[in-house]
Amino acid sequence: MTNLHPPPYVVNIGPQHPSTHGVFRLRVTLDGERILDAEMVLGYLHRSMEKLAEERTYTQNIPFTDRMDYLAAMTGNLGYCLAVEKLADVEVPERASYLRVIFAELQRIASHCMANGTFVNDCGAWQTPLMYMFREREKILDLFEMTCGARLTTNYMRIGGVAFDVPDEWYPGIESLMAEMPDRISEYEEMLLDNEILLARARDVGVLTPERAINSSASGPLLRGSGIAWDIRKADPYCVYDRFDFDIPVGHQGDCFDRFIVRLEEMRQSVSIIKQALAALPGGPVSTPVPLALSPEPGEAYARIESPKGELGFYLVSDGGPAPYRWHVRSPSFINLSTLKDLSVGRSLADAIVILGSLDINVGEIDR
Amino acid sequence: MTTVAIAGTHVAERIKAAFPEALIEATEGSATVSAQHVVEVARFLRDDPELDCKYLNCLVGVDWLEHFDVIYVLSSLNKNHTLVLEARADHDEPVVPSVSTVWQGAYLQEREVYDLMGITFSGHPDLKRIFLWEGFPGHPLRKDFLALPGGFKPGLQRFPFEFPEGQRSYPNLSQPGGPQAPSVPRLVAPLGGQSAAEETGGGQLGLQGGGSTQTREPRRDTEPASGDAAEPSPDAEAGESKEAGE
Repeated sequence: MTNLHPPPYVVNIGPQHPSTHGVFRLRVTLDGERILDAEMVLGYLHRSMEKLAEERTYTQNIPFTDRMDYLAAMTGNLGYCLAVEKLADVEVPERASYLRVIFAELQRIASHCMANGTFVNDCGAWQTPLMYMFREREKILDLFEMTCGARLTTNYMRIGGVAFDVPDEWYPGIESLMAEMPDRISEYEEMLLDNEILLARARDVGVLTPERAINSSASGPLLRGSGIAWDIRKADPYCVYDRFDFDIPVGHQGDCFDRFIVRLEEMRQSVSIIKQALAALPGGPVSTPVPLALSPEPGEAYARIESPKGELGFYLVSDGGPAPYRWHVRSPSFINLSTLKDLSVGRSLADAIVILGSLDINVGEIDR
Repeated sequence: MTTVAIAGTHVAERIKAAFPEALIEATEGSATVSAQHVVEVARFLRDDPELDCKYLNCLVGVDWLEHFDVIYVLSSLNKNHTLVLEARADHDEPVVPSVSTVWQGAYLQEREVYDLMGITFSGHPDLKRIFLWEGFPGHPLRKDFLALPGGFKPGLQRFPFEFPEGQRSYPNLSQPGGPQAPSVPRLVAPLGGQSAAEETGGGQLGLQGGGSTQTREPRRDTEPASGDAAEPSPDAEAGESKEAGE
């Protein structure tokens, strides 16, 4: 009998995410089940948005931001519009800022529903928790559809405000959703926090130390899961976040389970923010008139928001023309992946899937 | 509480005190250093207790046609301030030392800038393309990507190389001379035999019953030559009738 090839083995995971967050390939070098090296291969969803954006006006570029993180299109819109407003010095009406906060937080709940649902999927609790979370996400998408006609690629925010005011039937919809949402989140917790599958697969797996998290430019729930109370909504408030009272949930161990808990708790905080914003929602216009071919003064601006995945930043350079000279996205999914190799090496192959799920990546945002 | 943006001029003073030869220019927004000094400046900004830039927010490459700027947006999470450092690189051979040893977060972003902008980060542990495939010609985020020396336009003019010298595209029928060009062969359909056979009667027998090549060969020769398939030549008719009679 001939000898089989001795270890290490190189195995391709993908090119797709095991639970299809997008087309992603991980090339792992294995000794038995233990990972010796992990290398990610990206670019299957690369649409060269940064190059395309240099040929279009600032307003025409807003739909690109829907298609980056398509599970959180509203926050993509918001981050980009804030960057252009910073570059061109555009004031936003107060009602528009409140609506932006409400929609960004609704989007955060929807995105965390997906993130936690698929993460539990990756752990092996197959489909049932995801379906529970889809139920609430569906209602949020209905609210989006009521307002802007789209569920996924919303294209709702505009430079200087938002595209449309909310319709009358939106108010009872969001109020009933916000009334039931705390119970729903409690339901998730009852269902999952003592779940043997989740605890066995996620506890003490993929531990990221705070120093390592900062050095790797980790952001969002990944950073907060490692115990660092850093949230751009608090640290550098945009829109009207400084008027609301909310907490920053943090983890203690920095493992996959902590990231999961942080996301669950953030959903609860988002509900609280939305309730406060609804109570204080002012009247008035929802957008400022901005020239269609907006030409900001030559200069550079970096604006960032706390998207569901982490720090979403836009670095814009203007040369005085109607199209941006340089349009760069600091995408949280992409940069959070810096930690994947460190977290996976030395663990088993099955752990790598859980770690990847806990990072909550979106390949549309990685490849852009 | 908002994040304080530290003025580039202040950062420049601190850099100048530590590395006098590194600084190129300073504005309100950013401090620019020459590319070869960027690693020691980065390490200084990270470890300095006042600046404390432990967190690299983002790393961007900008093509200014005369030079490249690599922009590092840095911040301190403890002190909640941010500052911008720029490294200037030559346009012909852009080389910037890698800061991935200073901030692990630069690892993927430097690969991205290398892939799309073509700036080489010396000392990077694994510098290769990340989004585009190996062998992709050029770096698309460069401003001169579509006008490279020699008229080479990567990605756009692949098809013209498939045509012979002087020919730019497939021949177009609407072009003058197109329809006259004998590029499309005339299709001659042997339908005339049917009607001829109906008229003569003998031809039908020849087509159906006669399995031998001899019966058809005269017809094939005569049909195109006569130019009028509806009237078979008397020779062919006679030949077929003769064979059918046998």
